[in-house]
Amino acid sequence: MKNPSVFWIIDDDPIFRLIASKWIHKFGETNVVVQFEDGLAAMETLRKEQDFPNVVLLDINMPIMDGWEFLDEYARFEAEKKKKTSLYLVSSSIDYADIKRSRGNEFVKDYLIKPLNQAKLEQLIHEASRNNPED
Amino acid sequence: MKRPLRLLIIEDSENDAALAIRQLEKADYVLDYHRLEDLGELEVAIMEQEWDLIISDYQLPGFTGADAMEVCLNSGKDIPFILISGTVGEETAVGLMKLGVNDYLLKDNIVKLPAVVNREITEAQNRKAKREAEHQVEAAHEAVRQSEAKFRAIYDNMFQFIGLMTPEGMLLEVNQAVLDLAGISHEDIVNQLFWKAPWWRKSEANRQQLKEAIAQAATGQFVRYEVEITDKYDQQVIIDFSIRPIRDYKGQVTLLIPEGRDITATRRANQELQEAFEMLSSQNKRLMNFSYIISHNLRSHTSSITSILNYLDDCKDEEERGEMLDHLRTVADSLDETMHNLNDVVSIQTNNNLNPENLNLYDYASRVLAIVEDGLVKSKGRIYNLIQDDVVVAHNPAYLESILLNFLSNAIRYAHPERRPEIKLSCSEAEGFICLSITDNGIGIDLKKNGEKLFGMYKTFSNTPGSKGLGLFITKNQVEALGGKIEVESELGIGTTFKIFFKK
Repeated sequence: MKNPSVFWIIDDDPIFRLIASKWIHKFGETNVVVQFEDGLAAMETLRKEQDFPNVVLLDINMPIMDGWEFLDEYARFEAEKKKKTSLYLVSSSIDYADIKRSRGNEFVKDYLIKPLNQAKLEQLIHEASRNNPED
Repeated sequence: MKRPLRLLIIEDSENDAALAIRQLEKADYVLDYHRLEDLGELEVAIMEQEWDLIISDYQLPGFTGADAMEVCLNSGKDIPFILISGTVGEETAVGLMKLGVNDYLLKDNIVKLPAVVNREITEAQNRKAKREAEHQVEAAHEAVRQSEAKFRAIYDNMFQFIGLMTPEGMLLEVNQAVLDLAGISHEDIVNQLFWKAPWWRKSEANRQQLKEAIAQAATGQFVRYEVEITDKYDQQVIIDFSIRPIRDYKGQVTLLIPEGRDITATRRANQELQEAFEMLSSQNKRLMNFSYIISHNLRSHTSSITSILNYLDDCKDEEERGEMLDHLRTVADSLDETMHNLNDVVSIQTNNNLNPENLNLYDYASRVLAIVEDGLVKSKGRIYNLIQDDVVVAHNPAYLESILLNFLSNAIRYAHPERRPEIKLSCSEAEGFICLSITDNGIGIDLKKNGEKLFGMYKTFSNTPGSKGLGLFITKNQVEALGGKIEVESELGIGTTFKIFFKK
């Protein structure tokens, strides 16, 4: 029996959080989704938590702590903790500067442009569950 | 040695003439002579031919040697005139000599004629040589005068400033352009030290720099730099200035040539170009901001719509479908609002017809204070309007109201949760601007992190309800549209001061 995969959605857009979590549940009923409205709330939770999520969907433009600032903080955690976590930047921005910047960051697995297509999301969810070791 | 001699003989006696001719031929003169005894004929002979010598009798038919002499003088030609006579007394002879007769000989002494002729010819040649030398000197002088006039014309009519000075900085010459620039005359400036010239009057530093430049040029180096001087109208003129050393044949610097070119117009043109460039850059920056808005804000709506529709395609549950439609409506409303906001921004940025009016800042602030009073009462805050009641700014009335409203409602909205909001409005004059300061004791902004984004569109830095991140963007545009600017000072947890500069 596999552990359920844990998904974090960090985005100030409630519609995105809602639709994304609906899809995630649709592709795997046992998946766990945790939602955050901005980077700071997510970061504070990460600092307390020992167990990192399997997948992080991180928006770029958010109030208080945006995606880039979140990544700066994220870089400080030790590698061991981040090992099983796949982090995706998700943005409606098709600004080339943003895409280029995301490629330069070693923790960003991919840059996804909104709206997310289901095929991509499904693939991402399957990868996460494959990487999730059994008990 | 044979010597040619063109001889005119005024003599009515052929014998006497032959006597004189024989004497001269004996003395090796080869004669080309003409004898005449008529005053009119004499006049013609002198005018039409060149003669080396005239010998003349005194008593002639109808005239005397004195009359002949006069004809000779009147011709203006310098021909030696020797009088030969048997009858003239000592007194007459002296009178004739005074008149211009070169020599005088008695007929009895005719043997002495060649010696007298020799002497007179030599003297005439000397006189001629002297005349020619004088003429040459005069011609040389004239050439120098003409050359000087030519160079002077160039020197005084060129628009560049030029002069001449000693290696010690004593001015010897300046051209007309310099005099015109300073509104002075030549005497005011020549033989003065260069750095005492009136155009240096505004700056001791420039005088010091000049002294050093002269000292350097005096060692043989060419010096050139840009300097600002003051003309007769008290205007600043930018000069491309140089000092060129002039050496003598021994290599010693004996003179310095200061030269200046007025480059004010070029500099001004450059400056205008720079300003135009900056204006274009800022317009371009706004355009970039706009493309960023399109990329982020409009796309976020369309992507929401797409993702909701995608989900609806797959959704069988009626209740969930209803929920999705509600979301769709929300996104549509929000998109509509965004479009309206964008329209506001575009109208500010494209409005060239802002009709600034002179507005009393205190009155406008008071009016806006009344609008925000509700919020203020709720938070138990206070606003101090310390603007002097006579401060007037030239601005568009609607914009000014919107600017004040936005800053004041922000100050109330971002109040610190642990203290009552206190907001202070004050006014001061800054260079070319009237500066309105709005200071609050709110939560503050981390400028290091957010300073660059502060005035961008749709940027918010807190989760405070009602913050849409649009206000400051619009406000900034409303200030800048009339030549103003905004500055901000802030400390997290302490408070924020916005300084709004209105162009005077």
